[in-house]
Amino acid sequence: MVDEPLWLLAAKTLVLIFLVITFFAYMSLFERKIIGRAQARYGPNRVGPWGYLQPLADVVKLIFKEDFVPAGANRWLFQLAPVMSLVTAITALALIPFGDPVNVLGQDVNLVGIDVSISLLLVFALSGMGFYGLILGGWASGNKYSLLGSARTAAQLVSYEVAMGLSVVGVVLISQSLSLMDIVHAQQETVWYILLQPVGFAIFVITAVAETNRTPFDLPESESELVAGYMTEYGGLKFAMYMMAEYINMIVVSAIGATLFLGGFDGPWLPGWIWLVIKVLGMLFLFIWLRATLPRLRYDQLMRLGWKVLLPLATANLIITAIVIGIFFQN
Amino acid sequence: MGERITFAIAAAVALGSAVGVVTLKNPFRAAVSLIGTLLGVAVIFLLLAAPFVAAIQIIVYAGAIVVLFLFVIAYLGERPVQLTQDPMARYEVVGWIAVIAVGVQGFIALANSKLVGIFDDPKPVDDIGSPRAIGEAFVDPFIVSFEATSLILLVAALGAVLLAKRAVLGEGGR
Repeated sequence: MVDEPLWLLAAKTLVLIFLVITFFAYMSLFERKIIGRAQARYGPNRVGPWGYLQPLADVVKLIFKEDFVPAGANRWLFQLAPVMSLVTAITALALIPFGDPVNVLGQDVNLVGIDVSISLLLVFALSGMGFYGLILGGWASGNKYSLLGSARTAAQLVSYEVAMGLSVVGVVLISQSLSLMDIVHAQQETVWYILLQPVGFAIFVITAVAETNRTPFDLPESESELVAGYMTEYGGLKFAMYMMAEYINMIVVSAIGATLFLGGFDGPWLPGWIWLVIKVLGMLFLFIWLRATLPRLRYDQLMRLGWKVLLPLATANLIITAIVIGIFFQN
Repeated sequence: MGERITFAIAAAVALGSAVGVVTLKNPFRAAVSLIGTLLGVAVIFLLLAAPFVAAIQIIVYAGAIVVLFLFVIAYLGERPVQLTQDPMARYEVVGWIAVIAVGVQGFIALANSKLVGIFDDPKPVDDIGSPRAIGEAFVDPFIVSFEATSLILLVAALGAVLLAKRAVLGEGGR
């Protein structure tokens, strides 16, 4: 950790936001291509060579749509909600460590936005704030499908956040730290924690899919029952913000999973940040693969899985980890 | 100076939203206003060098409990509170006198107290807000109260489950 002037922090922030938005754009293309392959079709292939300009075309289309607020909507909250989603998603990126400090043109640069001692807790706090974007958006739309979507969002996200929180406590116990940077360094000295916490990793991945509202847990926006759930009334750029928030949340949660269980930026030969990107891409591929493979759960199945399977399993995993550490590694 | 400005903003947000919680007629908006209060209090915890408590404040209260409030309100449908004739309304003056009296009492108590940091400059204390310090406080000086609290919470959870079960049985469910 080195001290940085303010302008450098601002520059890093701008670069990171630019990179993640570009990454988001191509991730949506990546997803459509893979799902196309999984369903034995081509996916987008008309705009530019192999469809690589498709995200640009989508952006242009969304920008030129009418900025519409329904008559029954709560105007202020309706406009604020997508912004809340997006801001919390992007802010969480600042906590992810991309590597040890490097020297760029004579200036030491930390490859992490802010390195605080409780960064793992802050990630959870930000994801908790991100829920409000979905819940308030659905309520403010003044539409019953939106309202049902946001009620489902509230129940689902709170249920699965408990299991997710418990699944990462094992990692905290082993590494003796709540700082993501320290957790990566602890893994560099020992082994990647997926080897010590396989159950924790499995629970983390399942809850991560539920927390980002992805198939098979996309009940808040299930199009066969609720039109589009909480974002039914949104169009144009506000819709784009929700999409962006969802995909950036996927990137963040994959990066957290990679950092906690897969060694983060740890890896041989290549620079650290390339390893992190490779691991994140692997996790994202898993997300898309699940979407292409699994049907949506029913709502009671979703709740039963969360409270009666994942939560007891995560608790048992935590207790066993704590006992093993207490007996064998007292110092 | 920066700390004072931050404190002023956080305190104003906390108090302003708290007023909103009790005055807004629509329950959903009142619950949304509660988020502002909790976030303002979290910032004040940060200023007190207690980052762990601040993060837990956001995760538990702002991130889960208010979400459940909103869930319940969204499910029950938003019905603005019907203001009927309040039988206690004629005692309003007494209420205001009591409020002012409590305020004056609090002010006098604070002005006469010997607490550190009210009239002299606050002194730095040892680490009391980090996760390590809080964890050690739980297992060392406060173990009995910590375990007693967890027992009470367990009893409350079991009681809630039993009540819910009885309600479901009463409706002829499983």
